[in-house]
Amino acid sequence: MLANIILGITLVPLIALGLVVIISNSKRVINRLLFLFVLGTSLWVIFNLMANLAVTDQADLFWSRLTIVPATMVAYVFVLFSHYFPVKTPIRRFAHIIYVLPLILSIVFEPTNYNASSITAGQTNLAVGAAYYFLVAYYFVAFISGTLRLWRTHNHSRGLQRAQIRYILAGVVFTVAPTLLFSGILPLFGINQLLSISPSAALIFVALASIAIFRHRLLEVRFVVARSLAYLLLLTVLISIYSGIIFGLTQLIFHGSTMSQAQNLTYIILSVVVAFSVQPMRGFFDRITDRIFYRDHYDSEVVLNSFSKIIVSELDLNRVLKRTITELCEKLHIQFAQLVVFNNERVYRVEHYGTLPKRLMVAPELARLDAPMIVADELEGGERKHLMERHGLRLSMSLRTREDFVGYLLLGDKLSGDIYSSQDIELLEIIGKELAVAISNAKAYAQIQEFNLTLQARVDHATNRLRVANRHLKELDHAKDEFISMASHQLRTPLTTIKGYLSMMLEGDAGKLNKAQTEFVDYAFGSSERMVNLISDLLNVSRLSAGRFLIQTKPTDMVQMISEEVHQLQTHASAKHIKLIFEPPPEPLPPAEIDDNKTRQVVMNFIDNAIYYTQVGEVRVVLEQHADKVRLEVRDTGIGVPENARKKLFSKFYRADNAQTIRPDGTGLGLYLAKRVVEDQGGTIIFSSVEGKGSTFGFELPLKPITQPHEVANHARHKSSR
Amino acid sequence: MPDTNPPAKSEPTFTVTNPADAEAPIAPSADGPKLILIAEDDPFISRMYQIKLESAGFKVIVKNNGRDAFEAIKSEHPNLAVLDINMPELSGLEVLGALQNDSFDFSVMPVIVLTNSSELSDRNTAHSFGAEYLVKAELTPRQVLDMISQKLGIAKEGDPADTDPKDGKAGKGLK
Repeated sequence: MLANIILGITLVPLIALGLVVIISNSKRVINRLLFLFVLGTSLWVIFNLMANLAVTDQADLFWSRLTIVPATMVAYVFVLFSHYFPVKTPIRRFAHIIYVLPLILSIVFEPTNYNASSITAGQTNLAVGAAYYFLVAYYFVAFISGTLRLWRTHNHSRGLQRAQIRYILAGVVFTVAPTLLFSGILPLFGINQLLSISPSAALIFVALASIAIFRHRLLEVRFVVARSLAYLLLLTVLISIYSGIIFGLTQLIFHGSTMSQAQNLTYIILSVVVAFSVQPMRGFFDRITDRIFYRDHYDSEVVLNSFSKIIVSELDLNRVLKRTITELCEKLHIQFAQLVVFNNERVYRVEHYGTLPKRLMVAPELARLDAPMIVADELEGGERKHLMERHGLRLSMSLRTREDFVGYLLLGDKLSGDIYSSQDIELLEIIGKELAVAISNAKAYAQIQEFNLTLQARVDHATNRLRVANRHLKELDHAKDEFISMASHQLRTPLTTIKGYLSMMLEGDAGKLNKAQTEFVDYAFGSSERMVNLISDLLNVSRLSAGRFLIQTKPTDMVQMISEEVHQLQTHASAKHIKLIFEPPPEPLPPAEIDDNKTRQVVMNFIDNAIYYTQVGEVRVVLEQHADKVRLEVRDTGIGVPENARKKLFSKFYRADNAQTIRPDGTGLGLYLAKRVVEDQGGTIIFSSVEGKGSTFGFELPLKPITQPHEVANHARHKSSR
Repeated sequence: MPDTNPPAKSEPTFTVTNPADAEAPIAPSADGPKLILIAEDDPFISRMYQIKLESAGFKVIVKNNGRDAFEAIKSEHPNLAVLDINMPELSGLEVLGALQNDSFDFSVMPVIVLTNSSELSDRNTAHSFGAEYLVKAELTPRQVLDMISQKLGIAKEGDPADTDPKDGKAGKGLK
């Protein structure tokens, strides 16, 4: 009697386990195999129970014979399971036939005398046939080969999987071993007393498989169990309460007697309908509330997608850390988490989510967690588990890219208080890799930015120094211009006196000079005149750089201007035995709108140069009118300009080598100013030269200025018109 | 006109003229000699112009600072004033400003600002008073004299009327 009750009790969790396993995922082979395993065990228990309950020996024999079919099935399924768990390993076709053959045999011989042949005195006296021996042998082989296979797998696996296999193995061993002993071996020796008890060993299997399922996340059934159990409880409670209320109310209101049997039945059925309608409605409201509150359920694809989006869209390290950790914790419903990023073996950045831990982990502590993934619940004990529990951590991952160690992802409890499911673990494994790469990139980017900042600071610093230096240079340049301007003015005063008195001596204001005196004074006067021009050049250049160089035009008789300059330099030319010839245009020239002073200086410069750089021959000054332009050419038979000097000839302070030799005191300003003066008046410089043969310098100027006269020139006109 | 004389036998280019011969016909006019005021703080320079102008028959007053020049213009009524810019007391330009404040009629007295400063702003200021602006170092006393003659409307021998201030030189010197 006790044996039967134990068997009955064994059946309930066994069937529940089978249902849960197949409901949670009916498509997975492992689930199906485990379901078949449990089904076989359940049938075996049922047949045993039926045999025990049988009244006649005939019935007893019938049920007892039947037990061999599920028993063989269990053995066969166990072998298959050992092949498929945790990952599928191929079974050789031959081996498969060997395994499957006994199952067929068991079905064929089940009703024959090769199975149990007779039962007397209620199962305690069981006579067995040849097939029975064979099958028990087969059970042994199957059991041992399956166990060995699982054991091997166990030894090669680690972590969670290892724990799962261990519990499954333990379940099988502790179930099959006593069963084989009680139902297989002992009956062979005629000891049948324990036969009826043996199926209850299946309880051990149920217990251990449940541990594997719940503690070590075998087969993802936790969720199904939890929901189903809740549903079952809900239904039971609701039906009880409704029925109770209905009966109570009818008793109270109608004093019991008036309610008919049919009415009571209607109410009970109604209460069942109400109870059943609750679940779909609850599901509906669940979905709504799920959107508002965290529930321990998510879609890995969706999380991965949103995670990838964050990683792709963010480059800033702080933002990557903040957003990824937030996303992770919100989607996986994790209470708190910490991301520790390392750089050169030192903590570089730390990001938190949720409540801050009381104490942060220090680098040496973190170093002990250096493993791809550590789940505290899977640890038996030891330093790591202790360390993680002290910091309230349930899971730690060290993040690595192919090249680099990046840091740690440390996770606390889930909001639900559940352990991390294998869905979580799988997701975290994928996310861990992506996160490592993303952080590594962002870190590189952050470092580049930091480098940019320091670089920018340096550039700014250097720019500032340059700015200061530049300002200083400008001040110096300004001071130089000021100096030139002041010096020139100061030089002019004594020069005015020298030049003035010399000219007066030549004009006879001090009495008649003799020939030699006239000649000497004339030289001195010519030199003072050149010095005046030199000072003018200097002033003009300093004005040019100060931007105060302005052309002031007025009507000028160019024939007169040039003849004056030629006359001035005639003495100089004569002293060098060079002919200085002026060829004015045949027709009178209309007055030219030009800057008298500056143009005069240009003409003087051209002629002066020509005389200087001509050793033998002549300097011919030709003035012609070409339509509305006036053209001046100063042709000499001098040293000429070397080819390589021609390009630079009109630039500031430039002097050709041969010119340098002949006239070391030249400033290199004359031609530079000439070009500016001519071009500023809308004219063009004329220049050609043959080295060693001579040069032609000159200009072509419009008779009327192209642009309107300057403001200053207006003054002059205004004045002259008065 | 410039010629092609070989240097060796060239005669002195400037004809030495007797001051009396050359200038006597110029200055005297119906109203007697013209009065020229020279404001110049450098005595060598003022002396130089004084000699040249007096030899041409002008009467010359020399003042060595701006204040005295201003007073002299108001009291002596010169026919023309030659003003330096950089002078003690008042600059030549400040003298012009002071005269304008005094409602001086510039049409009765042409002004030549004669200076060695060639600052554009100075030139513009001078022009704004209707004054001629000349750079001392660039001119000989003779050229200054010609300019003054021209300003006073005294025609010179053999020169076409011209607005060019330097027109006198070549003609005189080359003849």
